[in-house]
Amino acid sequence: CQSTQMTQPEQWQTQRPEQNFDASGRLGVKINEKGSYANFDWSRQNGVETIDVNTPVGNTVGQLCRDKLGVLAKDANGKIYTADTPEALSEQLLGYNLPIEHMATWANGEWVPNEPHHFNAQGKLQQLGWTISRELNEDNTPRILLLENAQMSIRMAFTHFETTQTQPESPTQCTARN
Amino acid sequence: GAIDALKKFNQDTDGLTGSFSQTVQSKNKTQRTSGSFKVLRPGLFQWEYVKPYKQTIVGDGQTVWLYDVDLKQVTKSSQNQAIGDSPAAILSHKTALESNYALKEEASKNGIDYVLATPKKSNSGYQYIRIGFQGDKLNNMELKDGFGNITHIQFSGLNMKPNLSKQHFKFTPPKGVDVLSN
Repeated sequence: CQSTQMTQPEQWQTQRPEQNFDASGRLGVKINEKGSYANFDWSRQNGVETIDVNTPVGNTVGQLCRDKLGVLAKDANGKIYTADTPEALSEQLLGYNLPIEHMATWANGEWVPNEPHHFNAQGKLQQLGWTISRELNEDNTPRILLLENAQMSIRMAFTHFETTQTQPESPTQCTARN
Repeated sequence: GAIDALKKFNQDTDGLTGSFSQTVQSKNKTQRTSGSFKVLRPGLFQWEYVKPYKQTIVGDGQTVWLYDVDLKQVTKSSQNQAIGDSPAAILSHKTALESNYALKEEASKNGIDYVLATPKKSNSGYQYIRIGFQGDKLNNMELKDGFGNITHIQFSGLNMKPNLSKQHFKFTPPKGVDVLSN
């Protein structure tokens, strides 16, 4: 089976120029004894980051999107949701607070620049109130991303994670804005 | 035709087991998963993904248990509101389709008869659900959602008399995983 190692500090690095990627997998959220589950498709391309929240059968129940104009979300019936902050939007659409603003940086094995960070005894990154750890595949792509803070823990299991080239012709703003 | 096959299928109380392969076609990618399923009406189902990841979804009549091995988490939700129009709900509830969908027979193709179900209410999340029968035997299902994603599920290895009982749909969470209610 795939060998996966817990990341060591040296596998974390400062943020590189924005990484484009395309990923899919499943996420589990634990808040005290409550929990939720979703499949997801997650991509960042040309400054537009999109997270499709899906059921196991593949239909999308909600789509979160972030671009230079801010964040918005759309549900399966086409209704648009906006909020001042990504966290407020996530709370509104999903019922829990996905750290949308920084998840991509952490998933790529980077710490958020201009914010204090350090590593705990187990080599986990600690930043912005979150403790972040990754399990990697042999090709150094993330297999598991674990985000924990005082209120909750979010566990993402990637079925697919691939960094992609910049495609200048792809949209530069969320499709939900059209 | 397909509507008769669907009605006959819905009257069946013997249950059903088999394998499935699921293909989800979204804007820029196709994702394939496969596994096995069993159904016993009313309301009992097990839908198990085996490749490329392991996940078990069990409906025991009251609760839907979703256990994802990589996430080390079991998520429990009450059965009546959890599964909505998922294939598992459609296969395990006699009236799942008729109550919320208008049914129309479509042309047969390669020996498969099709029924097209379109939602009566606009907020069902699906644009359509299409079910294919080979004679009386369930063959495939196709679901298109509000974002244009198309899920195709091909069934195989069907056993129409699997001799199932309620015991086959008991889910016991494994040790060492979080069991959380939704």
